[in-house]
Amino acid sequence: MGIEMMSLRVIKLSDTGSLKFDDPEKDFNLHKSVEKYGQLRPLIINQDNVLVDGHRLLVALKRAEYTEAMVLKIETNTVEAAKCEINGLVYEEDPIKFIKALKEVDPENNCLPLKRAEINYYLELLDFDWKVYDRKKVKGSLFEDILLEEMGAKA
Amino acid sequence: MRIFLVAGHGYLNNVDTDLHKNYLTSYYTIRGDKPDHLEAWSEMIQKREFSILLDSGAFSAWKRDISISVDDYIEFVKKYEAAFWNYVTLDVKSTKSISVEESIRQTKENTRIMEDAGLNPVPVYHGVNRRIDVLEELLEKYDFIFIGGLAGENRAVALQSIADIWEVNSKPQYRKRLHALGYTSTFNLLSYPWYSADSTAWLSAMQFHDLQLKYTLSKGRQLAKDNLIRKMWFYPFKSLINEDLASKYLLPASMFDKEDKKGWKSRIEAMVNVYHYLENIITRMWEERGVIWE
Repeated sequence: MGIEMMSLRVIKLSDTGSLKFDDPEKDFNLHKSVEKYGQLRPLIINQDNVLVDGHRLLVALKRAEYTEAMVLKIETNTVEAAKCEINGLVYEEDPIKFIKALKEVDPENNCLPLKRAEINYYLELLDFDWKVYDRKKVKGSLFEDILLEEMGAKA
Repeated sequence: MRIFLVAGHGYLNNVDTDLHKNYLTSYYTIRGDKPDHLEAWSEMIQKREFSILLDSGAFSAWKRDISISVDDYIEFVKKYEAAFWNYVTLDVKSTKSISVEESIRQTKENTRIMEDAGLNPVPVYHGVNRRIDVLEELLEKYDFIFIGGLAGENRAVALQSIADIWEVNSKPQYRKRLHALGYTSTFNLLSYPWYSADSTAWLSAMQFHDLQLKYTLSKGRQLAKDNLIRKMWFYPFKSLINEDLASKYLLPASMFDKEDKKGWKSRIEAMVNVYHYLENIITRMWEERGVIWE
């Protein structure tokens, strides 16, 4: 695994794009940095040339009229899992996109500081059924555990 | 999901950003203002396409021993109706001197009087009354209902009331739009599919400036240490109260605007941005869960 030069035309984007929030200020900063200092970090792609990390950098490079760029190829089965693991718990990450990407992460073998139960908890946040409010049937689901705990503690 | 930021027109006139559109104001606080101020305010609201929810403010008035007449309220709503996205009925909360039955009767009567006057006020159900039969009656008749009487109550009582309400409104024949009056706790908004909610929390956060945020951050970290459930809760939504957001929005205002010495306008904008962000995340979370309010 090493850094190589690659034409920007062959780099592909996955459907979900970046997991991070749009941030025009950071985009501006990166664009100016590329103009002044050039590309300082490689784009991270998988073996099929799909971009894993460096979405903002790719845009900045294109804006600066680069036709090729430094890339680093990594081995990964799914792009979404790699995105999730590499950026993990950075503040600028969109929590909804993060949780959705977490579906692709191997719960037994990943880089995140999360136990399997914690990963499952995140994934359950996306599930919903109106029956959840029938507390007799599904007590403990969704946030009922937290709410009931608080109610019990303070009642 | 819509978060209405409680703001009198004094605050709203100082909101420079059009990013967030939803605000709640009360008849009680603005009723005495000069007509020309109210006219100018009304024009500004319409020009900037703000959605203003008008609450009667009856309970705040009652606490100060002031009574609001339903006729005066009707006259005001009719005069400035174009400025409001919606307006709430003149509700009467149960107190030591007003029984639950009397509060229900008077609230219902005020709604009828307003409807007879050609208005369409949003009805109010007081959660802490624990009268599910009254709620069911409202759910049968209306598509949008205010849930009041939660703010300021014992938290355990308020949480139990909310659980009771959603146990009923989750039934397939209902699933109506509910508004949590004065209750924008993130737990609450992510636990139940409210159509909307409001509170003054953004104002207190603004008044305490970065101290409030530092407190929230340290509290969040403490919770993360203390409790696994809260730790799991805290991580995916850490960006709701993250340091990046803090440094971005809560820098000393004097750095940017020498005229704004107290940082008043910058703080308003900062907190509007934070709550707009919160509204966005919560709305998208419910969309992922399949609950999309038209």
